[in-house]
Amino acid sequence: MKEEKELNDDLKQLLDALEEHGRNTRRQAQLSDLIDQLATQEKTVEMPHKHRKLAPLWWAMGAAAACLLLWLLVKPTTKQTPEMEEKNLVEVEKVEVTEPIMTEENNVVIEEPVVKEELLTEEMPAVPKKTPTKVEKPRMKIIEEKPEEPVLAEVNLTEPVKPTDTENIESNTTPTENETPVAVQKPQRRVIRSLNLVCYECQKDPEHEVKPKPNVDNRTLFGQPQDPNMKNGSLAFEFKLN
Amino acid sequence: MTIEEFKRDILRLQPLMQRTAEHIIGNPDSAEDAVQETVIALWEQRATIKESKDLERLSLTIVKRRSIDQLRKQKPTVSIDAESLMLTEAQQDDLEERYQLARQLVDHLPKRQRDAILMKYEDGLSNEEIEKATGMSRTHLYATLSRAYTSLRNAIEQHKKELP
Repeated sequence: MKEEKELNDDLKQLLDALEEHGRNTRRQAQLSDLIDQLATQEKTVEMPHKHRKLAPLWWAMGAAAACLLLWLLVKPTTKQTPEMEEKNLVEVEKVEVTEPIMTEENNVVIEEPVVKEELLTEEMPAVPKKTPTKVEKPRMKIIEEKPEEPVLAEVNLTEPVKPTDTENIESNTTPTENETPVAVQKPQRRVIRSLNLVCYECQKDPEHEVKPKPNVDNRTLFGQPQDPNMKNGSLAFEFKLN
Repeated sequence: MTIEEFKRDILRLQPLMQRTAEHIIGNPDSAEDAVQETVIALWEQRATIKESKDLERLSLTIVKRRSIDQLRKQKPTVSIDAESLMLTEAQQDDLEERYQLARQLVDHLPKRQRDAILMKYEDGLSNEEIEKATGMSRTHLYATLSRAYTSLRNAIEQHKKELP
């Protein structure tokens, strides 16, 4: 009886082991299905933690790179129509300033007409077009050194003229056809020269008396012959020498 | 770790996890739930697992915690000593040895008896399902199973005699 019971217990353990193994096999199949399901869900719905944070960043970077590439490709090939070019051009018009700029340096008042470039429209073109502007170099006029004629150093002004504008002359002035370039470009030099007037004959002979010339209209301040075409050029030299 | 590697290691560890959970909880169904929860948790941490040893260690830790959680749901007032509830290696080896012996003895049975035993115990089919699958009648099935039990008993006795 006891042996039979032991045999039955042994057999029962044996069969339990078989049963458990079978159950485990079925559970493994279920787990396998579960893992497959998880893998499918991961592919379709969600991603692992690491990739989840990086994904939007990569998308943004890719989009930005694509936009930049597109812009670089399209930009050089854009051709503006003539109408657009005209619209976008900066309109520059030369306007002659009517009121002269007056400067007073060392008791010498000089009135000079100034040509200003006024920017009428501030609309800049999308593609800056190279406008064929001539940059004229200030013509250096070679001044022949001549023995300067005796000119009175004293300048008498009957009516002192007040400067109406305090603008810098050099920054705004450009030479025009009616002006001598030297007079416009280098006013200080002219003034200094004008103050440095020493009679040539006086240097030789201290007792020499300087007699003012009655008519010096046809000559410049430096004794050079006046340009016959310059009618308004005398504006810069309106003061009269006695 | 790829999906295939993960699946392979999990299926290898499943019996161990199941037995551990069953040993803690005492209920096969709850243990099965704990194992499934463990597999899901391991799947979420798959990116951090590099080697199979890490997976094994982590799986046992997780299944132990999930089993204790299940046990607390059932009996919330009982104090649990987790370490004492864990299966020892000898117990795990014993289970594996018993299955190997059972399989060896069953394989020596005649085909009809072997199929009936394996279908009933390993595959977990009911008598009606075995009748349908094999085409045997109920009486025939009972007779076949009885003969199989007798053969197995004899085989166990023979096996005991062979042991030193």
